[in-house]
Amino acid sequence: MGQVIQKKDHSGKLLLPAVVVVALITQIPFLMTIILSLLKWNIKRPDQGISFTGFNNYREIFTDPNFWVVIINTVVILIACLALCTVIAVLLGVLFNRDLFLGYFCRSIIIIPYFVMDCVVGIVWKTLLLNPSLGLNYYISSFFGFSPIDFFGAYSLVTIIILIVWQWTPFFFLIIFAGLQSVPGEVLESAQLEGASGLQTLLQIQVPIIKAHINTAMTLGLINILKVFGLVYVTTQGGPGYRSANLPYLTYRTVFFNWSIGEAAALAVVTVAITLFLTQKFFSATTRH
Amino acid sequence: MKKTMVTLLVLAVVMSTVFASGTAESDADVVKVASVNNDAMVMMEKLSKQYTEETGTEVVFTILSENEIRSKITQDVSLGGGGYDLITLGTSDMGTYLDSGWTEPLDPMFAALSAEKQAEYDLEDVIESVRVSCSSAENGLAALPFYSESTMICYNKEIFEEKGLTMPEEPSWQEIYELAKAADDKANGIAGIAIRGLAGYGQNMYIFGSIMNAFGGQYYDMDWNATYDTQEVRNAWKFYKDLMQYAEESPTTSGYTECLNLFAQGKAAIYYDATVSAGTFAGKDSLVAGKVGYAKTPSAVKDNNGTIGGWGIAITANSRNKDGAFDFLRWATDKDYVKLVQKEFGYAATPSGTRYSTYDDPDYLAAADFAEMTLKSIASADLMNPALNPTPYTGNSLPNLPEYSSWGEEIGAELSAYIAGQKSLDAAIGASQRLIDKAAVEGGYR
Repeated sequence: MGQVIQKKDHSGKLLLPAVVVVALITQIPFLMTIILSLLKWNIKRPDQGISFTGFNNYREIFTDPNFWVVIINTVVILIACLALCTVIAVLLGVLFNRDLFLGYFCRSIIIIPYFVMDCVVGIVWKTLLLNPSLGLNYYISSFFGFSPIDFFGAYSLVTIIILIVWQWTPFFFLIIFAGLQSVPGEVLESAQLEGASGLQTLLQIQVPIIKAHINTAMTLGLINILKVFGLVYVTTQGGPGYRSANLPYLTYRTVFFNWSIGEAAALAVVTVAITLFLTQKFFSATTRH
Repeated sequence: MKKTMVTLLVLAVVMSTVFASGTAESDADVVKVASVNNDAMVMMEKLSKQYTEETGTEVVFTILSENEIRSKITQDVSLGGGGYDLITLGTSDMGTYLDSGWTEPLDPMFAALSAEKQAEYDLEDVIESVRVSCSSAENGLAALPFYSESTMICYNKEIFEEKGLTMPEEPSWQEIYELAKAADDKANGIAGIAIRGLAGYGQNMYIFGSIMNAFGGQYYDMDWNATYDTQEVRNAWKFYKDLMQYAEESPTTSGYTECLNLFAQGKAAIYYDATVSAGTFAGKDSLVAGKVGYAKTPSAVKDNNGTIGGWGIAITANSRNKDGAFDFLRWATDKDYVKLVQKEFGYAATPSGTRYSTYDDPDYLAAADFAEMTLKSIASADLMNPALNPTPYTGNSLPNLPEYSSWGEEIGAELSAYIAGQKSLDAAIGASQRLIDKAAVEGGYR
């Protein structure tokens, strides 16, 4: 009787190149960032050299009152933008999920802001639209006889939130609209025959069916909104004071104005930790049921 | 297999030798310039074609916005990248970069030139205060200026005439306040004064620094004790906030460009900023061309508060073509180059504030009504004594300290929070004092 030779399963090795590439691209730079965060290194003072400073950079960050202002700003921006983007995207999705005159055209117009670069959005809104001296803001205010609103000064954080919502709602809309289009027509017809109102159909039939789409849009939105930098940089530069600064902008300032590589690396590590924590918490909360 | 590996290794060595020698050869024929994106440097890029025709050396420019080029240059020189032969540096960086060993001292390079070439360049013709601003106290000349500036007052003569106002030639800050208040007519879209309020060490701090100096304030005493929480500095902060009532709408988001555009559009009566702006106001796109009057930087308890600013070009310490870089640097900053710019781009484009000879030219003086005040503002700025009392640092509103970009940026944010009414004077000044004090300790000054 011939012996059955069991061959070893080497298929796992096929993954090796991909694992190596991913490790090189993502994990090694992150490890380097962690190492840098433990150093005292000011690029502008080469005479002071580079020295190991333990967790001093982290202590500096956590004892800086402005850091907590920035954390609060980041959370406020995140929650407000996620909520507004989702609600507006669902409403737009319902609106366009029916035969409308010029529906295709309007749908295309709506998604344009998503394809415009952050910095361009900022420049257009700051200089052409909301500028209180030379922009549309001035001309509309003059027409109605009141003082122009200082959007980027007095209401900088709210204005930043509005711009992020303007830019990112189309992204939410694309995903949620795809979900709404996949809802079977028969289900909606049955609901109609049962006498469900439009609001009931939306909340009790459509939204539960497209829950996975909403979760996907919000999770990806969370990651992307946490990373917003260009808009803040171009419009308010985080000001006045730290009123509209978020974590990415604070990291940029720490690198390119303080030139403190260790402190900037520590800030980057904190940002990554916060992003992972929030994403994981959000994901587990939305998939629990 | 072994044979293949050996063949590949030999091939790699041969290829790298060929490419390395190729690079070495081409280094001598190429000068790489990292430059800030302003009109003067864009013109230089265009005119560098003529230099290439004359010498056969190619000049390659990397032109980026101010913030981007500052960070790119700092990264390159501090980490020894060697990506550029020439770099543009702001006034406050020139001396510190040389002291850090990132750029090449120019004095020995000039000394090595023949007497004929030295006379041809005529270093003495470069305005003295500008030469000082381009130097380190310890290591001498760090860069050569391609345009230089100070600060001055510009005012719209048409608006002043309508309102029956008169601008003194050497006003005080109190007079500027009264004039801005009288000229302010926001109901008709006219701001009393266009003045930077956007936070940043090169934005509101550039302007406010000169106001603070005028009011008798300073950052440190001679023992490097922070002297920011004083009555003089508090008076300057209060004055700046009061003045902002008559400034542009949304002052905390208005930087150099916003204020420049506002005045050029005829929407501000007074403008306080860099002298180089006068060229823009005289340009064909300006709505105020021919209507602008000029006055010296205002005073308070101290006079001569103009801030020497502008840009210079330095040779990087890691340059592989220092001789070629020095040759192009001289070409691009000598007297003939000034003439070349005037010929190709007109008098308004003249590299201002660099050479005495530019202001001896009657044609230029006739074409640029701001030239005289520009020279006066630059020549009177006292870079070595910025404050009323002695200071351990030099530099006017931007102290020549490597850490200034860090704490200057933070104080700029505090100032803007105070202007916006988000912070009290005590809180903002207190935070600033702590920042300055900490910088003195961490920087090893005290």
